[in-house]
Amino acid sequence: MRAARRVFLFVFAVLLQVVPATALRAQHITLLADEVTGAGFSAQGVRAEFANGALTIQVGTARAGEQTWKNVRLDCAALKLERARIACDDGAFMLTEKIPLSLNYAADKRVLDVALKPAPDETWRLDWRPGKRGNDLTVRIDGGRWQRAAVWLPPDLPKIGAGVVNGEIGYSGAGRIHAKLALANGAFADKSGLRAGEKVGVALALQAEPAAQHLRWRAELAWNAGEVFWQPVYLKAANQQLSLAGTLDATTLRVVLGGLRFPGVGDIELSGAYDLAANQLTQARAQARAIAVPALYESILKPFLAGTVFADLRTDGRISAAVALGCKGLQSVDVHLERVSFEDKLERRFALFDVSGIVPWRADAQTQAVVIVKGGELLKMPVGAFALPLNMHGMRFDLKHLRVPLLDGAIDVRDFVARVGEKSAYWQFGGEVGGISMDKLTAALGLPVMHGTLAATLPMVRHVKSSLRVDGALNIKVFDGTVQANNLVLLDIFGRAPRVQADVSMQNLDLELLARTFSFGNITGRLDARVTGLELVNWQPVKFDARVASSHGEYPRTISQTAVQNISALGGPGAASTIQRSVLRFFDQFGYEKLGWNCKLQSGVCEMSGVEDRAQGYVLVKGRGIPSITVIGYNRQVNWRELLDRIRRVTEGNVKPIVK
Amino acid sequence: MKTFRLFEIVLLLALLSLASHAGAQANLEINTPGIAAIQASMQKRHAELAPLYASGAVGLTRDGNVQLRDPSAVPLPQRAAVNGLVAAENQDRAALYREIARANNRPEWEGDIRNTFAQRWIDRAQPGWYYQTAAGAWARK
Amino acid sequence: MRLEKNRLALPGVLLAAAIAAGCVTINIYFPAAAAEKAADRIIDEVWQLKGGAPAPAPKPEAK
Repeated sequence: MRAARRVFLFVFAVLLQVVPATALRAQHITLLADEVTGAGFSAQGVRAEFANGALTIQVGTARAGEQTWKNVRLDCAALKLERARIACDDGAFMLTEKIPLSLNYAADKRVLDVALKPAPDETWRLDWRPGKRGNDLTVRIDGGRWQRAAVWLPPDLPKIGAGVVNGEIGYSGAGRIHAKLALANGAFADKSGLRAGEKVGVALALQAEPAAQHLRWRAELAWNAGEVFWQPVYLKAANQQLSLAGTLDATTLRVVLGGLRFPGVGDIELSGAYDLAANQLTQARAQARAIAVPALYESILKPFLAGTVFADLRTDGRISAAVALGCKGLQSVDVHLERVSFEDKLERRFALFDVSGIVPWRADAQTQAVVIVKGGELLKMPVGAFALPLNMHGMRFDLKHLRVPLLDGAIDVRDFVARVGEKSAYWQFGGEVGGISMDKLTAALGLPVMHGTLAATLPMVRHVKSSLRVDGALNIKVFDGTVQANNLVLLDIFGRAPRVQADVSMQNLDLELLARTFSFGNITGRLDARVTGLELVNWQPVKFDARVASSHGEYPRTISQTAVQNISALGGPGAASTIQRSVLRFFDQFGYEKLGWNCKLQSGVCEMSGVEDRAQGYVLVKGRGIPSITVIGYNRQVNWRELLDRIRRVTEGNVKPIVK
Repeated sequence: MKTFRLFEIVLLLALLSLASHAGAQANLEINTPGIAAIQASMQKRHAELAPLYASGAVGLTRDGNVQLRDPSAVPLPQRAAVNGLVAAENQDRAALYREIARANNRPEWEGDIRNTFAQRWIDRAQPGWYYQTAAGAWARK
Repeated sequence: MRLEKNRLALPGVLLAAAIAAGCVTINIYFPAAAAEKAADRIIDEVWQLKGGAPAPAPKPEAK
């Protein structure tokens, strides 16, 4: 539209200045110009013709900025030429469409008034008159179509669908510019629909005036109506205001003082410089003080965290932040946390309460964050207060020692190191877990209550891409024995089907504690187990080779009738009742020499064997002493799921000994 | 003559291996905890996706995924959620195809499994749902 | 079709193996019918198509 105006002004100026009044009375005048250029504007093949009271001006190619128009044309069938006035009431201006035009030039006051009416309810009115210094130009837009701005916008922006612009743009001869524009019912969308706005209302006020070596400008932008979805953020107009003041010269657009007022969230101070030639931000700063975390999380952060464990949090506290950017990217980030809390709202997997401190990050200097956490929760277990002295140097982060109290013990993290790259992140740490009572831990995790204390050492945990690897052996002390996990790998941990691979061995577990814990009946003795090639998918075993057997050495070995029955029940219904009918039901306790069970799980089937092979079966419990009992299994193959069902029934006490 | 005989023997071998193989592969293994977990997650999500299939906002693509094909059918405030549903569904579908291939010890079958599913999702879609034809255009069942 | 393919492919592979006398991986054909059956079973579950009415009620003819 602006270009159209300029073309017109230029043509009219030519008409006014080149054609003397006397000549106007002549019947036929033709004027030709090969090329006419102005600031950011050019016209080629200009031809003006006046014949029999009709004026026609044609421009072969008109250019303004990046835009080009062919065959621009101004027609005025009846040009009124009077002593003090030149007027055309029903002219037409041809750009991309035919626009009705009327103009009036008052020669005495030297005031030019042009009205363009591209649509019945749309008027662009130009008023050009002498001012204090040079000529003043005012453009009044009434019902302007916002779509007309599309040709001036970069092509990768969403397409403008609707919108009405009202307001005024003025230019004074002294070089001052002012604009007051209002957009109503604006709509835009891209093809994917992921960047779209509807019923958008924006008010813009702009002022600029020349100063010593640049243009000084001020802009106020208020978003007062409608809604916008800009993947992944959805915002509703709440009178968000952006005010900017700065300078503009040939090379740089500078914001000296800027502010974004976000009602309900807070204020952000802004400043920066944009290199117009290189088309890039050379420097920027943003600062926000005491922003309420809940508002920030709900309206801005939440959409970015969809699908992560932070997708649905209850938050509290305040945060202040300052960010600085240079030509090389992020230069510094300063974050000040004031009693920030967050909690996994629905599943209660984790929570941190009253987190306070400062994080002074620099791109090219070593700094230390000082953060104090008052408490928290991990899988519904209470976490005590701890400090987080994180060392930072660019994208390298390390932590010498972190002690997180958990239940009545603590988790010690040592030598944590993280590197964050362009596309990948890597971290590792070692440490130990100590002094946590198994009673409390198992109760909190909803497991059968176990006794003793948990002590585990984590030699080295490495996280690469989405897998977690434990180098060396993970040791856990439980049931008065030791459990050791080797070659532990967790793949796709946060995916839909997490996989775990490991080799596990257990030594000297107290069978009495174990059997009591899982209500399996009474067994005294010691147990060793080796599970090689263990593979869990979605935390359920799909493959392993397990060998469980009584430990070597001297210790009391007894097994109760209930336990024998339960073992037999694992062989399927019917097996247990044979004991009921035998003389064995008169005894409560039996001696045994050794017991064992092997299972090789593959494709849902467990291939079983025992401590010894027999003609048609295998020995699960080999008796010794008086009374003694030997349990023999005959089924070598069992469906894993069925076996799990049987174990569940047995441990839930559904198979009760029926003593007759 | 010699070559002919060689071929004859080999042919027999081929048929034998085929027969034994067909026996072993009569069914694909789909009863694993991994597949069950993905399937459960997709089944839960289907309650939310079904109305979007019916309204034509979301369609079934020719490569075994789903796609937001008509964003204007979804009001702006819901668009982020619908976009999230589509992304989550495609993530699950990719995991499903991969897990089936893995459960059968044939990771290289993932592409073939995806193609098979793509066809079956479309074949079994409800009347009124949109799907992508082999040429990539949208069509309505 | 698949049978034909295999009949030709395997002798070729074996010949190649005889010539190269190296390690050869034989491509096992993709069991299309079994895969379709598996896909249908999963689709039944996900879309709740078996037993009772289908989850999304088909819309009355509105074109």
